[in-house]
Amino acid sequence: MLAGNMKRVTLHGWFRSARALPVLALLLAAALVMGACGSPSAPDPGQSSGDGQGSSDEPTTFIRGTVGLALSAPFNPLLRMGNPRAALWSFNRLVAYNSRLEPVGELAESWDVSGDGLVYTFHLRKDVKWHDGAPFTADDVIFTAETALNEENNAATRKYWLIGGEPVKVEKIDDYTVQMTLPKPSALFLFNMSSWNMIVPKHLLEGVDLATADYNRHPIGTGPFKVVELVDNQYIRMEANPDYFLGAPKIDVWIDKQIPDQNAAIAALANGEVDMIGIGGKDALETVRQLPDVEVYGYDAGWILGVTFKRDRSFFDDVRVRRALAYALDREGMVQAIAGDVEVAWSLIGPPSSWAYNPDVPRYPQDIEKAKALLAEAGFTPGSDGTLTRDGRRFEFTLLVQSPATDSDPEAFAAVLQQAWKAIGVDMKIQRLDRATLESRLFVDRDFDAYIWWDGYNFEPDPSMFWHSATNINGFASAEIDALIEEANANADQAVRKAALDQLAVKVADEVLFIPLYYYRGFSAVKAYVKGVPAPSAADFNNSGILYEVHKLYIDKGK
Amino acid sequence: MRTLILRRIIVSIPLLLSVSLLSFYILQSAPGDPVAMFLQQSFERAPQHVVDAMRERLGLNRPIIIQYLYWLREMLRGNFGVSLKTLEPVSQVIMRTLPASLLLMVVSFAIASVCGIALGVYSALRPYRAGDQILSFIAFFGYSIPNFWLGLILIYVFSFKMGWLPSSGMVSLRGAPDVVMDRIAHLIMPVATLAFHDMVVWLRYQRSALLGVLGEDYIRTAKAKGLAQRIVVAKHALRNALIPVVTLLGLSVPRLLTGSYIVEYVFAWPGMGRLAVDAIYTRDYPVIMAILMISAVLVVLGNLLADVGYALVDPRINYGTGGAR
Amino acid sequence: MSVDAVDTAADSPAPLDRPLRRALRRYARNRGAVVGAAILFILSVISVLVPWLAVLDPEAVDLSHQLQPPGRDHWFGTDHLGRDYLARTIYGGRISLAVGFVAMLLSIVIGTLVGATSGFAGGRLDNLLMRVVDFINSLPIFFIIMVAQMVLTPNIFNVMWLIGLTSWMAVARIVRGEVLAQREQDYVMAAKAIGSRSAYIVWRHILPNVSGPIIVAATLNIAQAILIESALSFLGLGVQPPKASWGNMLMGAQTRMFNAPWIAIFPGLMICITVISFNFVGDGLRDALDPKTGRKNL
Repeated sequence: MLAGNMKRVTLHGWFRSARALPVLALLLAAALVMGACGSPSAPDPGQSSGDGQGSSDEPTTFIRGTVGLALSAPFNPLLRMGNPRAALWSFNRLVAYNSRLEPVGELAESWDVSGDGLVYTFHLRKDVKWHDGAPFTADDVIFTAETALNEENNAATRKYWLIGGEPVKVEKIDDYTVQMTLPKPSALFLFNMSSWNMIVPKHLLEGVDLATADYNRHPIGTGPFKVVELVDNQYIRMEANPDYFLGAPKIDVWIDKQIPDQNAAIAALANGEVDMIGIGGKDALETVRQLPDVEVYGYDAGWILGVTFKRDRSFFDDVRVRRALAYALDREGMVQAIAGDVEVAWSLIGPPSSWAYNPDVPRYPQDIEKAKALLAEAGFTPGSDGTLTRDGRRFEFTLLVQSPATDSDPEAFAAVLQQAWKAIGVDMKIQRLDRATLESRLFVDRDFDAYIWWDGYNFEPDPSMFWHSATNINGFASAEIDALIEEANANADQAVRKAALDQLAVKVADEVLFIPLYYYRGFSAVKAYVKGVPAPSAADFNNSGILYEVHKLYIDKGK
Repeated sequence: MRTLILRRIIVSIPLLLSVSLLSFYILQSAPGDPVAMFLQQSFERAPQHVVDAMRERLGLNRPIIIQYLYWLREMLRGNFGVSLKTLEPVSQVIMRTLPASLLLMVVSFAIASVCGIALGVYSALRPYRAGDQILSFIAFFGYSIPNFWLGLILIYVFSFKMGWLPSSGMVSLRGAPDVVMDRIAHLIMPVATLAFHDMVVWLRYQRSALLGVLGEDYIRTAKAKGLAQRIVVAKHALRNALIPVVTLLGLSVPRLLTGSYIVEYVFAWPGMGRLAVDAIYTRDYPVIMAILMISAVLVVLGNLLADVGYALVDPRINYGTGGAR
Repeated sequence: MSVDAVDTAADSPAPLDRPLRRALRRYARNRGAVVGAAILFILSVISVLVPWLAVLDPEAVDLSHQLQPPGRDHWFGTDHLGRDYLARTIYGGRISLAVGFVAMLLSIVIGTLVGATSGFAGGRLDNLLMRVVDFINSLPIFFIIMVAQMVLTPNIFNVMWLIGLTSWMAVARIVRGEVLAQREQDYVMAAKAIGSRSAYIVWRHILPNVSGPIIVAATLNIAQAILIESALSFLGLGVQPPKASWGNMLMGAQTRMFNAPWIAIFPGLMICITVISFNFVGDGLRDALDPKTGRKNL
């Protein structure tokens, strides 16, 4: 009783005695007002007064949580490929690949190829309109190609318009026909016309400085959804494009919401804040599998996790050393334990569902004795602390791993590898580096002993980035490897390509130029009331997981 | 008083300059190239000549000291440059995150200070009794708990297990029936995480300040004169006990904007703290510099505020001319 | 500072044992502080002795026992690689405590040196040093440490000295204040008059006077350093794998806590308990060593 009374009195006294208080109060009020007025506009609740999904005339909203994905300007598919995931539902390419990995038309209705494989004639759809109502024509395709090819623009998609470093010639035949002439035949060309190679509108970007264009915040495309609101690092709000040439989307509002942390994303899925999230990691997958009313879809993707060595560091120049390192690992056991339900990788190019996969490469089942014997043969003797030495040098090296990363598997593998290699007397240290530092160490300074990270091959694989001597950073490039890559890339004939890629895979595995661990599988967790999700396909051929026909998705909560 | 303010401002100019120079230098020596990152596509780096062209265009190929002088000149004109991540003016980038940070911090600041001061007074008036002991323990607990951990636990319990509160962001994108309630629902967990810690600081400060004052001779004299406890407390003790609290208030100002990075990170709150962490990871120097400078200016302002408040509350302090009446 | 100001009424240095005993008695009356000290003592003993006990290996991977809940074989359960979580928690504590102590020592040494120099030299040097204090105070320390970690490649030793290097300002202020207060006192004048060197005066007369606040600041600095380290490690910028620190374990727990809550609970709880103990001890010391707050209580 007394206490309560006391408190009131003292507080009263406090207020009276404080001459500074008005100042403070004013400050506080000002800050509050600023905070309240300036806060980003809340979504307009006017149109949906209820739950938003109840009766039929209320708009349906689909929210996808994106974990760890930077969601920031520029939202221009010419400038950024992977970043504006929205590009996939706001834009279109000439070609897409269907679930059997066959190229099918998207903006192009059909195409003809000349006998020598050099001239492609694309017949464009005539019923396509940009989101602002302007018609889509051949001029847009030509503009896209020219803008991308202009080096000053630093276009991300430039590489798609280059074949062996030389530009593709793009000519207009009529408003709806485009002819492209390749400098030399290429197996990758049709793939180049799909992937992230979005067509952008000429009427909005012509004569504009690409880097600073207002368009980068207000993208206009041809896709099933129109961007209506972009809030950096928060969300992209899109509305259905009723004129979409493949059919009006059944969802009215599509939102990509950024969630930096996987946990928050799972919680958001569990309590219905979002309808879909991507899932990485075995444990997170287990959690979402236990959630009621959630479907989990898995799909193969072209990524492979593995350890890359630098040839001139430590003792990696010696093939016996590399083989010993490979024999020391229980690859199946560790992959199963850390990554769960995925395919163990022995071959450089995968996944097994890909036509380019070669299962017949040398494998290295765990054999500690063999590993030790190989190292002894290579002249190593145990030092005082158990670590092997040769010529007075300890067998030690540092494995670089990216951190922070949304994907914790590489770091988990690093810890297991360390223990496995310790067992044969190799002292491996682990160094975490943030992405910017890691990339600068790898690609600019080329200062590393070894690193564990993802290596990527599409279902139309192009290994040149990691293995061709022109760009290779691990030092294992050779004339033989170069020749195999060039042969594979220059031929449109899949059989010829496969033969060359198979040889490359055998060579890499035989000499252990790279220790592959497993082929990535992507997983999406979707609320069960989301229907029309296409069957998971053989591979992540459109970089979009299960979301390659978003206009067919709909929400059915029953009643 | 005016001289005091003027002197402090003049003194702070070289201070701010050295902060900016040092920050600029450290940032520039961090490995990693923002331009290469900007131009990079998933795992494929842009060719070096493309990167170089972009660096040239952004003026990043000049010597650091020239870049610094250039940056300084532009900053004094109110131009913080363009973000290397989005090529937008930095001021725009900051203004997008500022309101969110302010909202979060001001709300938790208000709750923390009001509760903290009230509980501090309560504690000081009954030192070492049960109520004080319990508050004391809670206070230490709040002060010792890592706030990111508290955040994780709150998400686990209230979002994942109970499903009561949204786990991240500051608005329901589905559209909520009541915008204000929706905003409050999003605020609860991050504010609780932040305010729990800050409240404790207020509580301890207020308690020890008031305790100190209550032990002073003049209070005892007042009591001896037979004045009622509540009048003694209200008239004499609280006023003097306010001095350190005013100081704390001033010192809290800089925390308003960047003090919550890790809470913003855990709750995906789109504020300046998270912007700063992101900018550090992507080496977006102009954005980091702007945030560092804003926060340094706030520190200076906060200290000034503390001094001024100090002078206003405590008539014994006389800064030369005028004093505090 | 005015809250922490020590009683300067020591006209003549009293015999050491009596105030000390009185302080101890005062300290012993503070239950929280006693329990805190006991906890810290146990933690320190375990941390120091654990390598010799050699029964626990924090790095031994056992992929057949991943994410085991706490039980007979693993008291704290296991993590995602089947590593014993009790061992990792203990070894993590070693690192966290080491960071706390090293950072604290560094901050005390620098703070005392700067404070004493500043106080004694006065004038320009004093002004300059105090501007340095202002300077560091106006840096957002956490971001600076983050960037510095990237410049220097992240490892735990960098964390230790970076935290130490950025947390000495309060100590410097305390020492300087005391030096300023004492330097005009008769005994200091007398000491000067008979030709004692300033350093000697500081060491012999002033430091003993100011040791109370310094010890309190030191305890709180440890607590603070442990929290900063855990936040840095949580962001992946502290200790390097496979070594554990509590913050780093929480980072690993983040993606797995929904199916294995204990891996988030133990390290977080340990941080809490340790930091809370340091804070209790600091609080107890403050009451015990500062006669003024104590007197009112008698």
